[in-house]
Amino acid sequence: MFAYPQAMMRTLARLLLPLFAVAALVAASVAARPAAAQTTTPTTPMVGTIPVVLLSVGGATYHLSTLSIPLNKAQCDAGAKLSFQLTLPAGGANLGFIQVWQGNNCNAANTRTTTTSTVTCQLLQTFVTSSTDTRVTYSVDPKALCASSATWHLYFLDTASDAASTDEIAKFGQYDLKVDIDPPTPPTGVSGGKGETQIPVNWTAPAGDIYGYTVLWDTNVTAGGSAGTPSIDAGAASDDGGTAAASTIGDDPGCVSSKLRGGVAIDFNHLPAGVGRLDIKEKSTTTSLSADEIGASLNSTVAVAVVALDLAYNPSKLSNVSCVRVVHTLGFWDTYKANGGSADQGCAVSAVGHHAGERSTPASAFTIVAALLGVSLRARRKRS
Amino acid sequence: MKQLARWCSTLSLALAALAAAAPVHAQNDDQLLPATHSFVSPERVIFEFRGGPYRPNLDGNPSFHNQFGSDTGPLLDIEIDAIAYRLPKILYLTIGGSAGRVAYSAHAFDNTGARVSEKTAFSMIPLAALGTLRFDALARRLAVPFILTGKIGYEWAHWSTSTGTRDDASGWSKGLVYGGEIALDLDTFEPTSARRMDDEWGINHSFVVFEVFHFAPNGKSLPIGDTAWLLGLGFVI
Repeated sequence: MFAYPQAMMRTLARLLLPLFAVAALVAASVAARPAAAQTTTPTTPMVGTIPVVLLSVGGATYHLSTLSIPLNKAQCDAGAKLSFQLTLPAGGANLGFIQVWQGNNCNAANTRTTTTSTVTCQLLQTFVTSSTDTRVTYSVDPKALCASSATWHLYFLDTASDAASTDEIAKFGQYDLKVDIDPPTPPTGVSGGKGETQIPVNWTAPAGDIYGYTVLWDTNVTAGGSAGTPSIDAGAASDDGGTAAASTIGDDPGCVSSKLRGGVAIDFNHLPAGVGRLDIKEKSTTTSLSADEIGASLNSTVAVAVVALDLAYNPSKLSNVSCVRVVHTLGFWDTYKANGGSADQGCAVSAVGHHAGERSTPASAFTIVAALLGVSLRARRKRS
Repeated sequence: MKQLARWCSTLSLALAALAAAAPVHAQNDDQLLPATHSFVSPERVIFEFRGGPYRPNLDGNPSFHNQFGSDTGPLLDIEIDAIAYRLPKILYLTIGGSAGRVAYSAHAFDNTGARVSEKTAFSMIPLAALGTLRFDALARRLAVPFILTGKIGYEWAHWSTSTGTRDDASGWSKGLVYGGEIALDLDTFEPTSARRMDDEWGINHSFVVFEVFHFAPNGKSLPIGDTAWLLGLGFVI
């Protein structure tokens, strides 16, 4: 019955491929969603015969999916202790001690006892274990690891004494800990537009890997700048207080914020009163604010600035400060009515409880019909 | 330019489907094919996948042009017809329906008439119940590769419009829809491939369709009707 399956498949594929390409394009365009927030891939936390799991940093429990997030500057500054859980092998726990080393190849005795300019194994801590312990949790003070951004190799050695053993260690666990204390550079070229429910804010990403951004705004601004003469603070590094915002929006006067200053480090735990924030957990360099969201009234001007977060959640200094303007916008329906169109034509109903950003069902409809066609063809093929 | 690119893309896809069928018999081992084609699967449903430019006329209201300029969609549409009656190799009488979508987007205006960053959108989801009469005698009996079709039905088109995240209005426009279609029958060019598709997949016929239709919403509806054309692919299975 299927004497020529390959030929049939080729023919069918040639005829149907363009069709499904169109369907796929439609589905993709309609069902497009903003990119998902970045997630990190867990790393294998142990090497050796003692499994090591990082349980928490500074008391905050680490979820498995965040295991590869580096220790950041805020955690280092706070002296956040690292809590590890070790699963001791049978017969290993009765030796009595666990030594924690950092360096390279620290499970080898000659490496631990030899210090050169390039190889240094440093004993961080020694713990006493009970002979009955099979799973123990230890905290390590990361102070010695927070001096610079690096990947530190931590070795958990099962030893017979609390002295730096000269024996080769057969039972050990290893955990590679990344430390990133260097903040990213601030975003640049922050610019805002005009709108009512979708007021755009755009910026240019800094170099390096970025986890996301925080957009800050200040609604309590004074008029500033001058029409046609944009005066945008460049946001250059300015550790001594930065500069006040001053920018223009097209022909509109700009704004000056006394609270948002370009080039200044932001303390997110103590934001000035009246300053709002929007966290963006993706690499997108554009977002939109609504007047309701930022608490701004029509025909008001709002100062906006952006902070970048790297993969360790280190925040950059504040970008340049720009301004957005809240104005009443006239959409198609407004202009249709203004040109004599009737509001109650076509059984029009006022939309309630639905935001335009939500997608409807056409993509699903196309997908379902395409699937039905495929199922139908397959069923007919089986019958024949 | 975007519109042009869209239509070139749609047209090229259709042409690619047509061209792809042509060299098939040259690549395959035709000597191995049976001399006769004794089995023909039953014909039950006709699928059509089409796309084309569409702009609601709004009874001359200039707002659409002012807002969306030359945006023409496109309208993408699927039609499924059940074969109610078949006079072999002469005509089909079908009943069925179609569903589509077309959307337009542009920057909104502020009170001074200047464009702002915020966008406004208008979209339609036309749904129609259709009866069709398809004459395929030319293709089946005379090897003239054209199938002529007349369609008439009733359409319910859901429309909605928004500005930014604010929904401005939505509703249904209802009215008569009718049109004519000419299809280029691919079986005529590739009978061998057509037999294979029927044997393997139960696809009796495939064709490229070009349809001109008119949607005439009734007086109580938002006048989003227009006369437009669609180009696409069709299959009888």
